[in-house]
Parts: sequence; structure tokens; C-alpha cells
Amino acid sequence: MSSTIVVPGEIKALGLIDEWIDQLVGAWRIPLGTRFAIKLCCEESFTNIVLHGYKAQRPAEREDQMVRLALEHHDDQVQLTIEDHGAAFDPLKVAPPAPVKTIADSAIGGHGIQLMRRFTEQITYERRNSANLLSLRFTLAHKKTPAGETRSLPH
Amino acid sequence: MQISTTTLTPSLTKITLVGQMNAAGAQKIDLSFNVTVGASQNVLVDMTEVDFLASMGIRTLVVGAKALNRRGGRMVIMKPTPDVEQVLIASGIDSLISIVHAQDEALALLAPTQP
Repeated sequence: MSSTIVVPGEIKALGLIDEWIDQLVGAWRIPLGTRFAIKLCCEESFTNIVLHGYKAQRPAEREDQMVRLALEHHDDQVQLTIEDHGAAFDPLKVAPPAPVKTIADSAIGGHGIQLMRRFTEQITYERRNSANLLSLRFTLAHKKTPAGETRSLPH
Repeated sequence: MQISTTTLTPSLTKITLVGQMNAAGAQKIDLSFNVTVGASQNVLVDMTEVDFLASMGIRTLVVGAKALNRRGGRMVIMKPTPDVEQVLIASGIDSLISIVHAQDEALALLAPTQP
């Protein structure tokens, strides 16, 4: 089962994306924890594209700033693929934030990629034909804990 | 996303958030949240009815906590749902802003220290 949507690269499109995901995960009876992970990672990657990838482009390049999202459900896995034509950006190359001990030392942002790493089973990135292709895989039978460990869920 | 405030003591304000703290939700409450933080010594953020938290929502919490800290105050997060608490832990926020699961626990944590 699969579905694809193309939306403008604007933050306000998140409402439309949310509605699209809600309809699919409901129809596919995806467990609640996995739904949360899919919505979280989708919002984080889409926000990065709009606020960083597309914002960095010159005005002449901004006319066709669309984002294509595809959600596929196979057996015990859901895969989310996000394609944009912004500046090349491989989130896998971003180093994890250095741990801080006090709120005074903490950065205000920079949590998105860390959250994507923790709430997905696997992330792959490819730059193809001037497009960024980001694939996020979520498993339904196993739940990845925030500590990065994988454990079986009771049947 | 909805926000409401209650004055619990002269030095402690409770902010109650309801809804999805995503990019749109955070943008909706940012002004009220910052105004309340600016007028409070300590803030207890009740997240019982927040069913989604993303990095734009984390940004709202961190900005507020940093502002309070600069004035010698403190923020405590109360009763996040399990999913929201996982986001707070995964982003390391739990080590910077205390999380409690009962209001009494928060009051004890934020009680003025005796001279």
C-alpha cells in the first residue's frame, strides 16, 4: 500500500501533511507509537527543508519549491520518502549535538535531526538529479526506544 | 493549541498547554508563553493535554527556560504524556528542565529556599 502527496515548500503545508498522514495511518491501522514517530520525523524533515534547504536558494530558484512525500506500508514496515529540490543537505552528516549540563549553555534549536535518528529504524539519504531524497523507515513489530535500543513489543 | 495561566503563589505561575505543540501550535502560543515567562519568577508547564511535541515546541520551552534562568528563576515541566516525554528525553531536555509527574512534586522543587 502506498500514497504520494506533493505540497508547496511552506510551513503552512504541515497541516495538509498531517491530515494526509492521519488518513493513511488510520486506514492502515498503524500502532499509535509508530504514528507518533512518523508524524514527528515528517515534521522535522519538512521543517528543515523549508527553513534551511529552500530558504538558502536565490529568489529565481524559488518559483517551484515543492516537496514530494511518499508513504509506503509493507508487512511490518512503513517507509516515508521525502524529495525536495533545495540545496544539497545530508542530515546523516550532521554530528550529534554536544551534551550540555545547564540550560544556560544549551542551544535553542538543533534538536530535529537528533529526534529523527532516535525515532526511526533507519535513515538513508541520496542526492539524485539535483534533488534530496530522504528515506525514513519505521518498523511496526519493534519499537525503538529513545536510548537507541530495540526491543520486541508484546504480541 | 491553547494556553492558559494560573498564579499558584507570588513566585510561581502555572502555564497549562493543550493540543499539538508542532510548528503551527508553537507559533500560536509563543507570544502568550513568552509574555507569561517574562512576568514570572518560576514557571510550571502543565503538559498533561499536549499530545504531540516537535522541535519547534522544544524551542519554545528552551527559550522560556533560558529567560527564567537568566533572572534566577526556573521552569519545571509537569505530567508529559509518554510519547511527549520520549521526545523530551531523546532531545536531552530532561537533563536541563526538570520533569515531574505531580503538582506537589513541582511545588516542592520550586519552593523558595530558606535563608
